[in-house]
Amino acid sequence: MIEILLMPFALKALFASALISVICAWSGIFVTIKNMAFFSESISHSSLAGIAIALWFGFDPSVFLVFFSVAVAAVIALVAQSSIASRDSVIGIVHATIMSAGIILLSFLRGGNTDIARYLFGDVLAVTSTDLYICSALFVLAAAYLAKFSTTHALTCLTPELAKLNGINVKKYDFMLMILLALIISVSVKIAGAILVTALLVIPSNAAKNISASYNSFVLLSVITGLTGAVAGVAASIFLDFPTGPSIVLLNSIAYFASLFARNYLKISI
Amino acid sequence: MEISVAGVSCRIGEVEILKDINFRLESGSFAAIVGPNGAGKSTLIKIMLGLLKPDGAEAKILYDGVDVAEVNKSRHWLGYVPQNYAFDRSVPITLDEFFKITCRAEDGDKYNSVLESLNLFKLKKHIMGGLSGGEIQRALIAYNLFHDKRVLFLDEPTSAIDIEGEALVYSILNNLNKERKINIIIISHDIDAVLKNVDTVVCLNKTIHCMGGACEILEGSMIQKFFEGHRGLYQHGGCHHR
Repeated sequence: MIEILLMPFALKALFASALISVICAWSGIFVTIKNMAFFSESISHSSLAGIAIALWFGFDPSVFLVFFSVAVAAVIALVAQSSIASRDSVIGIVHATIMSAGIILLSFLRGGNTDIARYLFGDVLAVTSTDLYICSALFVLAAAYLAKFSTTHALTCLTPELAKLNGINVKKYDFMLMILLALIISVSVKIAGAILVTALLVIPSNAAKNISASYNSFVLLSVITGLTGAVAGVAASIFLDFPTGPSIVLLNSIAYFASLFARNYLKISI
Repeated sequence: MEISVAGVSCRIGEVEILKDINFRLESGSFAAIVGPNGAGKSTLIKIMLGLLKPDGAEAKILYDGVDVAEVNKSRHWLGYVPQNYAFDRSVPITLDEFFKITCRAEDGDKYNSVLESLNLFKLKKHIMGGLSGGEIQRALIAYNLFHDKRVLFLDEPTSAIDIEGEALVYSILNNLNKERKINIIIISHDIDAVLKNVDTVVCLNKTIHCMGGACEILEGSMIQKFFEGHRGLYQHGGCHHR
């Protein structure tokens, strides 16, 4: 039975999920500290409009989505900087605008529903070699960026006022974080689906936060949770014939509630 | 470091926060800005830190003749300990990690001696979110020391801590001022603490009402007149000159 996991489609799915989940769990640390779950949610939901545009014009949705998501993040950042509304309100406005345009566009599309459903719910078992290259490129790029700038982001997220006094351009780093998250989300949509992709960013880091006694264990436990959820989720979906994205997310959710129990009742702190 | 503030005004919408503020603080001074609630004290120090821009192009804030914009761009001399340090107490980060991430501090004699001098050494492995108000204040002072700040602004440094903690914070500040020659500027409502610790007092209520030596300003009738009709002034005893 284990041989099925060694088949090319399963190996591709495992590899892609592992890469995406690790990078989501790592960057999810900043989503958690900066309360950016709504931003992540809006980028992932807006991707449906991106897919509609790609299908309308005949572009490759996977590739087009990367550019589209980065553009949406940039629009949110620019509108937030030039508006007196709170960032949450701006995200809500931009998100609703893009979603509405996307839904109108989708209503004109005929025969594109299979692709839409794939992006809505995720379909990691149908990952192609091109998708795998995109995932690998994202992993290398995002991991290199996080390795170089994660301390600066930690500083700007934890103490923005003090960071500013030390000559750090907090707005620039906030913008860079939004762009990074948009890139990660745009590639992850194919794995977990637009509806669930925020879960990959938010759940592992919050599960880790529950039982971490230091920042180092916060980061490490988040990555371990994300990776375990991905591998076990893909395996479970193959063996039990469950949809893959929801399987990964549900396993992460189990880890979250287990860590909550461990924190509140077992007083575990690592 | 000599500090010069000239022609600083600030208006938010129709509300005038500060009007034509001019004063000079000598190098190595320990000064307090006092005034009733809403006097513009926090706004003034944020402008002096370069975090807020004053109205008009003629306003100048100079540190040894260097404009605050230049100071912040190239030499980060200016330290700040906010009144309420807003941070997410649920983030699992130890004090040790906080300093290593935010200050890039490295283990060594200097690192340990700063922590020892601020009674923080034994708290190194504690989670930041579990520290008391006084411990957070001392951690933020340490943060500024690791960055070798030459001017330190503290907004109500003892408002969230008990009497014992307050004495410790002031003894640390006095030590930094005397030993390290760091200019210290505090905002305080506690006149007794100001009398005991600072050498210069600036009385602010949208504009400068009076300025001078602590005893001279705070012992005279000027301060009573200044605070007349305002709440929020704590006065316990007489003048204890530094």
